[in-house]
Amino acid sequence: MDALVHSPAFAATRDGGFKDPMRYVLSALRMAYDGRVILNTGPVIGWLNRLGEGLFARTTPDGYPIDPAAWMGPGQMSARFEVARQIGSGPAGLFKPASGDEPDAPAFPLLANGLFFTTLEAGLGTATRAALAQAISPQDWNTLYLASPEFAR
Amino acid sequence: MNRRDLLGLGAGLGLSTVAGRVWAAPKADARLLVVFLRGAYDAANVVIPTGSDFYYRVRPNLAVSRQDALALDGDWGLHPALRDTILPLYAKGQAAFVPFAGTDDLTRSHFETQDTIELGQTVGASRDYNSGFMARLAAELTRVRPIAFTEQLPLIFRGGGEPVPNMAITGIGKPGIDDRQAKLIAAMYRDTPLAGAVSEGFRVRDEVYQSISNHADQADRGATSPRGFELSARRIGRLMRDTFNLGFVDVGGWDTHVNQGGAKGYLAERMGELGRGIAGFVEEIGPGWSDTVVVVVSEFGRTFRENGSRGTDHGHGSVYWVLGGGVRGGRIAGPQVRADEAHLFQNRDWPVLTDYRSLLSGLLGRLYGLDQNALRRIFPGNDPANLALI
Repeated sequence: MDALVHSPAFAATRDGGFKDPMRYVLSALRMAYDGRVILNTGPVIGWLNRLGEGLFARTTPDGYPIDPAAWMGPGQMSARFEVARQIGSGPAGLFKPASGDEPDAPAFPLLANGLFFTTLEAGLGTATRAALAQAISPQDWNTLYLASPEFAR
Repeated sequence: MNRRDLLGLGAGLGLSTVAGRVWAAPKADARLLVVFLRGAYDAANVVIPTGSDFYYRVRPNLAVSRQDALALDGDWGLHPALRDTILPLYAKGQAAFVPFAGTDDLTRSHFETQDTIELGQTVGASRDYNSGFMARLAAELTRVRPIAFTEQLPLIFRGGGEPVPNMAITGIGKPGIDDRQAKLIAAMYRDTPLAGAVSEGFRVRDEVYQSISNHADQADRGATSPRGFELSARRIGRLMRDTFNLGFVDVGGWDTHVNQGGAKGYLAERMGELGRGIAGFVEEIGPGWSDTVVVVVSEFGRTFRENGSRGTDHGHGSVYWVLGGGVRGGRIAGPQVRADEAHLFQNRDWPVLTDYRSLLSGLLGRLYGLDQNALRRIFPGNDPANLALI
């Protein structure tokens, strides 16, 4: 494990400047719900499948590509924005208890949070700031932020 | 948006998409759809060597009898599941079968050989996984609108010039991102390298949804709605009639090691669905069929003898299909040998007498009027075979 995480190749996988679907979905969820335990992983699995990086769904033995270009196709980008909307618009069933009959635990993806204002906001380009300024609701703001080029990196 | 607007939009944007390309390139007005049967379909039970006693001897449980098979010529018969769909096309001279077709890849591994076909590179040389042959084809054509009807961008369309959009064709719903959001998102990406991919993604999404929802409004009056590949193929037909002209789709479920059935059974059902899909595609594309070519390929054939589980195992040579309104079909094309024990490859399966690259190269050369140099860029180190299919 030590050899693995200290290998230059390990660090290099983050230098592509573009998150693959697994990193994209998990980073969005961590930012939205950090510290809370997700009760229902069904939606997460669904998003990964939709973005073409489903768990154990790779058909060839070479594994999912680490080259960012493999995830930047036009169809993949529009699918990613759809997922951004689903994550940004509400809890999406992530806090539905396994027992079924109980109601979902209350939750909202709060992306305009401390992390955003203290750290991430400074890195936004003017185009993204301009788009975020036109958001008409917190859900809309979330969707746009998750769809932004800065969040994709 | 009506059809004229859609075409106008396509033409306008098409120009900007190909701005960086050479305009001397030949016509892409012809349409090409490549259908990949992943899992290696049992070609010998679909295009059946009815003239071979050996076939009936080594497939006691699986063989399709001479009575059941639909005669194609003196030596060959077609699986009865294709009676109402592919046989009529063959009878009209719009379908040809190329037996003993395949690759020189001998791994008999699905993954290896599918990659081999999609990459279209020389076997044995080091592979460039970022250069599929349809992407290289798209780079040779002008006015080309390529699309992969798959969930992920397949190897076959990777690399080349402009990124190729992919769109899973089943389960298309109304997009959740509305027009206002799409505009804002596109604006965020305007000055980034992803600007083209983002705007192309929204455009393809809208075209696909438009085409499919318009149709749903007018049709389906109580009729059984098609499912599975037939549904996909009909949608592809509408999209390729109006918008796209270079398409790829894959169909899985052909790896029949166990209980594949004969005239009826599992393989017969899969084939029936494939046949209905292609017939539906032809119906939807309408007059466009005359300049459309559909090629059906699979990574390899299967063992000529049945195995102990009433199935067949990984083999070598397959049978490829070439269909189209302008195809010179109604025949079995390419070199053939007798389907007997002496002519089996490694005493196991069909030999490859027609290399898939030569077959496709010859076809592409005629379809698009591509010269030798262009064909060599698509299939390096390969000579086209002229089977006079177009």
